[in-house]
Amino acid sequence: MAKHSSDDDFVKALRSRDATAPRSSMVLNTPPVGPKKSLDDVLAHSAQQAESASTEPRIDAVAAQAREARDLATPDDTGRFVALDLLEPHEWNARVHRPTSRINEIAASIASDRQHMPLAIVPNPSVPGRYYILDGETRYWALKALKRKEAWVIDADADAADPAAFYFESFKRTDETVKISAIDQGIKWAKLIEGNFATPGRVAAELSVSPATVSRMIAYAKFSEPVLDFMHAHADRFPYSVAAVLAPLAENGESDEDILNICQKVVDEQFSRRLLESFMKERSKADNKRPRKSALFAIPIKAGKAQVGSFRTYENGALEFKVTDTNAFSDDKGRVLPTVFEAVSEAIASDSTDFLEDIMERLRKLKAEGSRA
Amino acid sequence: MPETAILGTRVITKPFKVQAVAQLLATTNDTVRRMVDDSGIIVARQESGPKTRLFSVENIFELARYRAAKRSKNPKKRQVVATVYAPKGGVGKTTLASNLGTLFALKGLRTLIIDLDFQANLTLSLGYDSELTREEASETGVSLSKIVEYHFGNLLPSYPSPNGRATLQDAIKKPFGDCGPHLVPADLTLDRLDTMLTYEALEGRGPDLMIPKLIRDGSAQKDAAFDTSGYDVILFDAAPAKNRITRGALLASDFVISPVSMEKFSTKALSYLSSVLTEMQEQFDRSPELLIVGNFFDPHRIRVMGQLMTITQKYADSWLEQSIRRSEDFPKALNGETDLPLVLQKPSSQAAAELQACADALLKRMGMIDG
Repeated sequence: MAKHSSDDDFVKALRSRDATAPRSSMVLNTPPVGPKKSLDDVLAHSAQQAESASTEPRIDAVAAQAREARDLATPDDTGRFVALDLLEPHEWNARVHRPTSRINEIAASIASDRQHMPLAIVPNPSVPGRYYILDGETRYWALKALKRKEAWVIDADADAADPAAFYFESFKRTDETVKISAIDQGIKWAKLIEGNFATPGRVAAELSVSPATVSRMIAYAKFSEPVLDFMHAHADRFPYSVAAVLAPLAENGESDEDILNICQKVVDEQFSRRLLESFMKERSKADNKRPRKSALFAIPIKAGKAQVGSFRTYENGALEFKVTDTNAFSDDKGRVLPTVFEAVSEAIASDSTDFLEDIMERLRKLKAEGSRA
Repeated sequence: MPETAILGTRVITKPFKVQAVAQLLATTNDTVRRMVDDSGIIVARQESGPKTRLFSVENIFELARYRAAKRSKNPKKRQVVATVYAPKGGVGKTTLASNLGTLFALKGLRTLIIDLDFQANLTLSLGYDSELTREEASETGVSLSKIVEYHFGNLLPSYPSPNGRATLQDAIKKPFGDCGPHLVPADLTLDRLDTMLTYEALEGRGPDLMIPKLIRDGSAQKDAAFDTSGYDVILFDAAPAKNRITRGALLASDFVISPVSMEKFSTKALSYLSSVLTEMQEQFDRSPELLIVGNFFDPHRIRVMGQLMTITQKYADSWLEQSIRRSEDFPKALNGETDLPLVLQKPSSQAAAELQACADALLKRMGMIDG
């Protein structure tokens, strides 16, 4: 090829070269060809292989030893297998919230693999032969969901009849597996203290936390179940410091709906404790100026055809009686009116079936008393 | 062409004019205007002077989705899973992944991009600095939504996440709104996923199928925490390493898109990749179909043409005819002043046109659009 030929000519020449001409000494492997399985088929095949690999449910070496030990009916360090029907959750298990998703996750893991950790159990003092679950209740529910007949367990030492002792032991074991949320801790601590099963000082000492932490953590117990469920679902946004700021809402009897609305705001706007505090401050200012809610029903009061006032009722139970035409409103009438309202108010609170008659009876009585006075 | 301005670390993208939108949607200005009127999508207008329409980046993807929904009589197509991967650094994997993800979404496809490289370059290129802490974000006025809190590992049921398993909704980022590509970001700790998979292997628990199972269950709505059934395309951006994360992603994928930078080492990397795929095929009777994209292509360089000859002859079935030429636009797009992939930054550039043609060819090969 002439030196002055263009690049395009050279490219054409390259393209037309004999494919068999030596070009490179580099070995180049090529991708596989042929039929390919779908992902579903690959996973199904893998599951089949796993199934056929063992005719018994798969258990690890430690569990296998434990199964052998079952015949001896003596508990040992590696645990044993116990019928699931003989186990039951204990009221003072340290964990309160157990999301279904977590149970499903563990069930999937057990189904596809094995039970990785034994349940810790203690004898039920009232029913010999039955056991309470000290640690591993989520695994228990997962095994139940899988309709397994037995569970791998180890025997633990705790007094199932002593709420505080059981709780502290359950806490130490359960917290080691997956951390117990602050919300669950707060709820149970408050119950222990309210039930006089433990003092705040003992809770602090047993769990190596400061007494101040205990007193703040029990703020969680002030909230209703729906609010706690929400907080638990967004646990990272509701540390005890935030719960303590929100606690006055529950103490003041605000509705769950209102509290949940604020909780949603905490999540959506990622409120820190400080931001929440300033928000609550603003909110309480706004509360004082808050316009009244609209009336549940309003009845016009008429004199002939003209409206002279209205009677309204509100959600909070308040009644409002308004008269607009007050030109003829004398002091004497003004002094009598509270008596009338008193009679009406009492009649509303009473169980009488004939409301009007009740009011009239009360007015007659008041009038009689007034004339005697 | 959209421009950007930086406020602290926050990048604000200037709006797109109708011409740029038309180019991105591969249609005419009039069609764009008509689509806006028909769809009811609210587009801002210039406040002073002529009332020119000013499209946000979100508007563009909304229009793309609107158009796709209108065109498609049977909107439910099969989901395609693809991995952008080459066992060789610097061949343009991340650039290709971010631009392809964007272009797929511009076709109206619901696209999920998953960053599998702990270097998190793809995450960064879409506007998320994986090292940014919550405190730093607050101090600099950056939206908290820009913080990377979860990566792909946190989505696996067996990954020991500190606060329990994250859901897909917890993890995904939407850099260009709901209709744009969604992203599962990465951060430095993603390499722990590989550690976990290696540990599982040492324990004899066969980690190869963990990622494929997650993807299959996600697609089949069997996993409430990872429901990917709403996506048309899942695109993994894999690190150049031949590690267990990449292996899992490849086994889960229908296609592996491999950029080749038209030089000897890059060509050799295709051979390594082929060996990996062959081994996978032998073990599982399954491996993704290889699609090779010529990158940094320069038809005027003889050495490039030499590599082209080698590749096209050895990998004829895998070679994609549409290549991407070497362009200064690529390094310029990485100058740190913008969080937009090149196709959005310079929609009228030659590079954007080539990426668009490449995306079309890939979608055709993957059966996502008709020929």
